[in-house]
Amino acid sequence: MGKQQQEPLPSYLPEMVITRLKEKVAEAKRDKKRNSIMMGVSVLTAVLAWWILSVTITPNLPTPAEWMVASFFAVRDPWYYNSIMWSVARVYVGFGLGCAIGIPMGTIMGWNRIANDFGFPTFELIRPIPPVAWVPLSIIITGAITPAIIFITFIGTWYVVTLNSVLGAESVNPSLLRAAKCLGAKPIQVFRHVVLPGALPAIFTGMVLGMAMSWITVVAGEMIAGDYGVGYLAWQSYNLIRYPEVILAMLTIGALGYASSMFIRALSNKYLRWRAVYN
Amino acid sequence: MSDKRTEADIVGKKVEKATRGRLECNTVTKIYDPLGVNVLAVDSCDLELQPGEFLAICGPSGCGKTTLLNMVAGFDSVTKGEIKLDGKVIGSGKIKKLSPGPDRVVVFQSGALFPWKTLIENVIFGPVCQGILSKDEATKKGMAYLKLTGLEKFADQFPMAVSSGMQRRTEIIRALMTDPTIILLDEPFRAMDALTKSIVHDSVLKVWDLLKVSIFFITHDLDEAIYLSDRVFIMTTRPGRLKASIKITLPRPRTPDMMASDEFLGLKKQVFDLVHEEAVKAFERGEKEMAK
Repeated sequence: MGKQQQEPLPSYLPEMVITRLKEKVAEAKRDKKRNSIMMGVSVLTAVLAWWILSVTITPNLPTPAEWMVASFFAVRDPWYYNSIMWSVARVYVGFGLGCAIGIPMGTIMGWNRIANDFGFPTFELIRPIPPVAWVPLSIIITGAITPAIIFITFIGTWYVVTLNSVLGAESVNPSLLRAAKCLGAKPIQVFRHVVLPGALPAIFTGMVLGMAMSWITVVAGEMIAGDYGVGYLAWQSYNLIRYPEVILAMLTIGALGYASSMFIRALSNKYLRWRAVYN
Repeated sequence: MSDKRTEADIVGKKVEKATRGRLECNTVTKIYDPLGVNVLAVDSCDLELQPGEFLAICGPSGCGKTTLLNMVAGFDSVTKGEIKLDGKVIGSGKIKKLSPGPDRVVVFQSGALFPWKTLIENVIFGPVCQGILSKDEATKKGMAYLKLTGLEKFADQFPMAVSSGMQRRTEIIRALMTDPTIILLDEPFRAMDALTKSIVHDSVLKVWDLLKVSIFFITHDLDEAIYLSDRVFIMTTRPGRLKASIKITLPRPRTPDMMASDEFLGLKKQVFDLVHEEAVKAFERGEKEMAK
């Protein structure tokens, strides 16, 4: 205390600031290091728990070592990549269709009362039906498995994307709509320049949820009616008593879902740049 | 000071004498009917705004100022009476279809720049949507207007990245871009600190002097009402009608030091007494309504 007071003030203050900044940088580094250590510890704990379970109460569960050996060979098999390709293609086609129809439909419904009154009752009637429940009917309609799976994937995406687009369009600040009208914008321009961009944050939320939904439905669809795909891979491996591969398929589905949602997030960061200045 | 050009050179035009922007409200009445209870918001309000006039409307909260503005803007229907802009009926009890338009642009209380458009994109929105100007022409004009208020450096920023004062100046410029006959300001400086306010005031006076557009300006702030306007129109408490119309005789151009002059203070006292009377009435009625 006494020593600090003896220091000359002008050089003392900046030095303190610099020290504090250095401390902060060091702190951030420590935090980052601790985070990565904790991440490793967390995964290791899960693997350990898996190991203990597989050698004690659930002997049918493959041990991590068995899984690794089996996976090592499985990922060299073209069939594995073939499965991934089929699922990814189905998800993205279904998801794309769901967005292509759900976004305009939801945004228009949220913007225009008449469109809402027309569309919403039917939408609400269909919405409680889980996408997977559509499997038999969609096979009946399309007569083939891939179109049927794409169809249920589409349904899964379409539900959530439409719903979120409705909410997004409804949440647009009414002053902005008035301002656009004042400035002489025609209805189509109001939609294009105000309603759609205003609804975009909610639309992206819908797309993230829709993407998760399409992975759920595609896997379920492939398990029920599949011929190819990672859902089918998991089910087929079960039937062939290749239990380690069941786990490989599961983890693959997880990784693909994660990558897909990262993709949507990247898109949203690109299109919602105006919001980034907020933070 | 390398730029010797006058403001008129920057914008490329200067209106010497206003010829348009005459707003007439004849016995304008508005009855709201929420839940079957008729609320008389504006009662036979008469008002006339000369071409190029800067009119400030003052009155206690809830007196129907904004309702009046919304009727002029075309956001609200008129129950009875007639609103004319340059002789053309823009609202009356007979017209049921609302028609806001670029001849009377509103600048909103809480700000209504499109947050997903940069300042310049906001500014060119009106003329480009109407197809009056191409995007390039509009950008050129918009940049000149932004320059007028010292915002040209921020043209490519998003609204959220600039201060509230800059946002509001941009909004006023956006309104001017469509060459409106009248601009309706709905308490746009409400939530601003005094310093920001004074900067925005100067910008408004500058563009108003240059373009001689009529301004219909709603405010709570008596200082700014007197400082900016040609005339202060005081409304009674609900139902709103004309209480008094006070001519502001302060010379133009206005400068901030005028706010300390005796003339200003005298006007302020006059306006304050009138508004205060109404505010007390509104308050007492509020008490009574609470007691019911």
